[in-house]
Amino acid sequence: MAEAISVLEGLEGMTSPFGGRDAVGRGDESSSTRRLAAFEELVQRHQGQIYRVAYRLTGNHDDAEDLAQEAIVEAFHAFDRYQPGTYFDRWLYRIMSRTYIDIVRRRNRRPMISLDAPIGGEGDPLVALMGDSRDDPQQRTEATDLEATIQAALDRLPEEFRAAVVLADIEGLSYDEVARALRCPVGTVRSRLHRARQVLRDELGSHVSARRKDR
Amino acid sequence: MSRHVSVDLSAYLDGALGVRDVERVKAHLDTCASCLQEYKGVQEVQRLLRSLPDPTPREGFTERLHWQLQREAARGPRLRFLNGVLGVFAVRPIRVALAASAVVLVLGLPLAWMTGQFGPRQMPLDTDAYLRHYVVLSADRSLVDEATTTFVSSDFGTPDQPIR
Repeated sequence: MAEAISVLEGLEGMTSPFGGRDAVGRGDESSSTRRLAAFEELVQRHQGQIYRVAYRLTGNHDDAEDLAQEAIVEAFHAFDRYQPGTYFDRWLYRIMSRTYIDIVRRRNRRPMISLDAPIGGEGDPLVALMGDSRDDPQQRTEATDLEATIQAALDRLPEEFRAAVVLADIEGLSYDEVARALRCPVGTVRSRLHRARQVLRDELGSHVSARRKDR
Repeated sequence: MSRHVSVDLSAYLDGALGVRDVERVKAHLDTCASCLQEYKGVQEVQRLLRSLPDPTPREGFTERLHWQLQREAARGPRLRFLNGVLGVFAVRPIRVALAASAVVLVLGLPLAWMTGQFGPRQMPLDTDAYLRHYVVLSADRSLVDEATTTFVSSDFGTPDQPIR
């Protein structure tokens, strides 16, 4: 509720197109300042979640910062379409998911791996690639090692599948919300999640069984 | 034993199944060890994903973002339409080119046919036809010089009345 009220205050100036002629110059300036302030306040409040999604999607800080920044700038330009009182983070996830898939396709840096293809075998070029990019294993704690393994498994998923897993499993979005974010039918979200989790279960096999034994 | 429920396990875990499907999956899991094992695996994957720690942005991220937004605000609103159109070209140039070609073919061919660029051509009109056209118009409106005017101003290709 507080979010809705403070944003409404910020939006007040920018949504009144009929300011007096004399006030145009000063009015525009102050309304755009208010708009920026309202937007920045919302971003600051949700920055942790926004960065978390960006990081889990991209798998590293460089790309995560680029993605978060690009999505936030996109959101700023589309801020007129944000409905105050609705979930800002969900709205931003929608923008970020599209930005992310666009960036990946534009750069075409990540190889597209089919979920039907064998993963993690000797012939998998990603295994060597990710092994090289990691820090010295001696310096890693067990916790970060597990995190790196999970992130590496996420990185192997095709981007649409990874986005579905990140939004549903890490952020806890419902199937409907994920479908809206990824602009696909709910049935597609369901099958993507199913296949992605199967692959992750195979990828993280040893951690999954180790946990079970611990109980 | 009932049919395996592997496909429904994720939706079952997320509570995204209808009541009847929930009952069906639950009943199957009570009797099928392999599906139960798969279910526990999927459950564990979700637990691992949720246990991931929050990443900390690099130092200065908030400041860099602030300055970026200041710059964007000073720059003013974007030309959204142009951006969208050019963005599509940048992301999928081949698909867009193919789609554009398809549109040209679908719309262009019937148009070309209708305007006579392709297809059956009309017979060119000879001098006799123009004279007959002139006679017909003069007979209709003998007191007005419209017939002559029409004949003289016509481009010898498009008489405005059918020739009998």
